[in-house]
Amino acid sequence: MPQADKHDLPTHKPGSIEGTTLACSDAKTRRDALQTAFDYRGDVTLDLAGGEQVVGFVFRYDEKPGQVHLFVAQGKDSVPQILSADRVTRVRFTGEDTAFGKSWDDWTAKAEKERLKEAERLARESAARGEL
Amino acid sequence: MPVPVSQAWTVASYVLGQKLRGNKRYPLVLMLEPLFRCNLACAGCGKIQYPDHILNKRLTPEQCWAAADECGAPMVSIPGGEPLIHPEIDKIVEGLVARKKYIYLCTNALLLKRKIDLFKPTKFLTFSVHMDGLEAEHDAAVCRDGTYNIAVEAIKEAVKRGFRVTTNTTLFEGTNPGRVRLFFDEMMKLGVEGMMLSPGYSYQKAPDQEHFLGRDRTKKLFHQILANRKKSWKFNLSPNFLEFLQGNVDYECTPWGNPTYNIFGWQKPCYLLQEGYVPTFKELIEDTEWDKYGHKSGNEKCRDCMVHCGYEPSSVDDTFGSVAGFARTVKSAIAYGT
Repeated sequence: MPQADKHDLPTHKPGSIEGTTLACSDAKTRRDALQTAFDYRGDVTLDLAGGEQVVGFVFRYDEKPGQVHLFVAQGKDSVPQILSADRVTRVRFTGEDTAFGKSWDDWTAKAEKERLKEAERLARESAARGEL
Repeated sequence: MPVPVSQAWTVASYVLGQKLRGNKRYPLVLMLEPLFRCNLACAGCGKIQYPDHILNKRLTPEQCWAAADECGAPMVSIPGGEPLIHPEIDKIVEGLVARKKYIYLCTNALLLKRKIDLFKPTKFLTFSVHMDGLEAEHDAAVCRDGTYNIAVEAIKEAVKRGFRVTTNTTLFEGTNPGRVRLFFDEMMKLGVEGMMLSPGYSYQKAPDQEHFLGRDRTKKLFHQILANRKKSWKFNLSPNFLEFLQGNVDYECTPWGNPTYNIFGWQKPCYLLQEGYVPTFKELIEDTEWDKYGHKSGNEKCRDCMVHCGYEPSSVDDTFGSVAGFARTVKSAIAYGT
């Protein structure tokens, strides 16, 4: 799904903040929102004062002097950009949460499902051959 | 002795030089991450959770060499991502060899047989192959069946061609000590120079947060594995670090010992925690509030950590910090045959 189309989705992945929005109404909420953006495993959309938007991956947030460092996608590559934190009015977690659904338990559950399918297929084939 | 004398001498003289200069915080191994893209997606790995445009980014060879020069550590570990995916990995290695850096190229070995002709055997280059146990355990840890057998074939080929090869093993909750001992036997049969070991760390950004070992469990597990160890086992680790893992000696973390450089810059404060980035190594060393990290700091993120990147430099520092430390190392080295 294109990044832009995901902007206003409510979170649809339990345990993930993908699709959610954090408003920056004062210094504390802005600090918390940008720290969460730094910790997030995907791209975010930063709404700036004046209506501008920047979509990118936040790889550094310096509380002092209040700067947000992002890589902004340009084609297949991306370029660094630095923003003044106090321009940010809203943080939207619009990019895919890249770690979601890839846990060890998810993998073993998937592997078990595949093994069950394999067992069922063998059973069907054996039955067809009259071996079951 | 698994590590060549020239490497042991280089490291010893470097550390002693730092000590003589009164330099308290010095790097031992540069962790150079030239890319985050990997051809595996291991559940325990916190290094590859990025959008595509970040995974497509690469450090240039020139950036890699500049980081090595800036940092000055005698050893360079190249993890990732999978470094063999980098289209200029041979050039990166060549430049580091020219700088006489001892390189550990950490690879899952899926591409090793295909790319091995890009490299020449030298004492400066070691392929450190990711192996998390015997076939069932390894394939489960890396979340892909068949990976173990491919890696074994690649190890055989690299050893046959005269490359230095080590294995690199991370152990998680639920590890069976008996199976690990069998795994050590298998790896030594392949002719590897030595084995590296570490407990897994619960990366802040790793998808899997539930299979990492706490401190007491780590000590118990490593004691079960390493007590009554076989003489045929060779480890590519400081012997005091192996003692530390079993709880026989206590160290405080040395987070600056293995500084990390990647496309974002120098990572604060260590290889495992991502609390920000700075553009220069000097800023990393001088501006990081080091007292906030390590077991004794009370930092919750450091509470259970016993990982090699923080504690192996501590054990090396101990070796050269006092006569007692040196004597302890000699005694452990004899016991472990390292």
